[in-house]
Amino acid sequence: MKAIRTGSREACAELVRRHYGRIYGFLLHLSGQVSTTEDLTQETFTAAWANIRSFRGRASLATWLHRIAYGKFIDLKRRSKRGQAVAEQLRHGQSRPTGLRGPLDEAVANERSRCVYAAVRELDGADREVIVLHYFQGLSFKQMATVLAEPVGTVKWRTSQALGRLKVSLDGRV
Amino acid sequence: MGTEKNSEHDGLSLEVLEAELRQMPQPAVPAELEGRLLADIPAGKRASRLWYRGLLVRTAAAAAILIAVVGLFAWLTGGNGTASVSFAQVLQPISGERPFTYKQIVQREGLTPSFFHYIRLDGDRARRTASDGSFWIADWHKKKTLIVNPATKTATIYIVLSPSADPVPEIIEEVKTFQVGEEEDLGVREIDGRSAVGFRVRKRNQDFDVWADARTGLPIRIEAEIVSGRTGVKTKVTVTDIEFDVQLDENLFSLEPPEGYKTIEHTRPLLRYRIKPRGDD
Repeated sequence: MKAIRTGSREACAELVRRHYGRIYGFLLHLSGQVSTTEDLTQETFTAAWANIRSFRGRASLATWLHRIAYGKFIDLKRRSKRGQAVAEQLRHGQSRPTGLRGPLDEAVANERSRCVYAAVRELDGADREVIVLHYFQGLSFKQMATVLAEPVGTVKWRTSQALGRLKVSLDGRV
Repeated sequence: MGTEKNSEHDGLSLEVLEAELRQMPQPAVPAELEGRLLADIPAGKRASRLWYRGLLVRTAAAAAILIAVVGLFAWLTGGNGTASVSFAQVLQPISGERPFTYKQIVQREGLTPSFFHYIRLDGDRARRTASDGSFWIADWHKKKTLIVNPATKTATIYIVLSPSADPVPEIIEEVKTFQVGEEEDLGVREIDGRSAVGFRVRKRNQDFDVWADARTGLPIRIEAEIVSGRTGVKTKVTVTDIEFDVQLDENLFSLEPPEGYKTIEHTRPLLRYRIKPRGDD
């Protein structure tokens, strides 16, 4: 951390190497849109780099980066004039692929996983956030509380509720 | 969380569902993104100077060729002789059933250019190959597109109800929507030893310059500069080597995934997708 704070390029590169994929995945799961994800991931690391001195180490670096990434996603939703259209796309589990790559498709290999993943994408935004953070990203409730700026108890309850709704939506499909 | 089981349904128990969720793999990250960020990280570089990969750039890279061929009326001389080319004349070859091919370069400010080769068999079938070997095939009659990525050995099939809803929309489809009267005259210039007449068409605040052979009226070059409204990053798209009435093998347009590839078939049609206007990304 010291090296990163002092602007060491190598240390910063290491930060990117360690966390880039995870943050990219987080944002892709949230937004469902590759191009948006790419933008937001770049912005997240740019912001992290610019504000690294403010990182006090109270949370882990991964949690801190998730917090920044989540903030970027929320900002985008707020300022998007086309939020309605984006929400509609997410609701239908449809996203514009990255052209010739299709990382979401690569990620979800078998039929059941595809079904589960599709159901997650059909969840409303708040439910999807907690499912993604807890299960996909592997964050503890405490870490999630930091990312979402909510009490741990609230986060636990939200996750439980979201899981229940996800299960209901999958009944009969899997 | 979630240790209870639900036996009332045939579906997953909560335990299994949680396990399934935990095992969900992370999506692959396009390698160039991380590399680009690393390359941009040199000490002291301000955030605002980092290059983002914006929606418009994606659009440009994916759709690549775009542009429109516009109308032109040009009077030319070989000594003093003249020839006229109408806007309709320029649009007709790409709007009809004639096969054609072209090359496309997508150059984003500060980045290495990407190269594509586009071939169109008829009004319904087209294929674009990227320099990394990945390719996209569209069959509008069947309302399907196939995207093949040799790097990951995956073939993805989408149901696409219209060309503009394609996951990797082709700019030439946009060109087909141009109307006579939308063009602005750019005059005459020489391109690859040929006299060319140029026209500029503005669509959604993006300018497309279309150059056509002054003698035949066939489009020979299309240039577009797309500026991201949010980042200000410019992407230049250039279509060159446009050739008409080329013999093409129909097999190149097969929607059959290559053998040995993992096939992912989407069963819901994609929503309509359109190129985003400047200032709205």
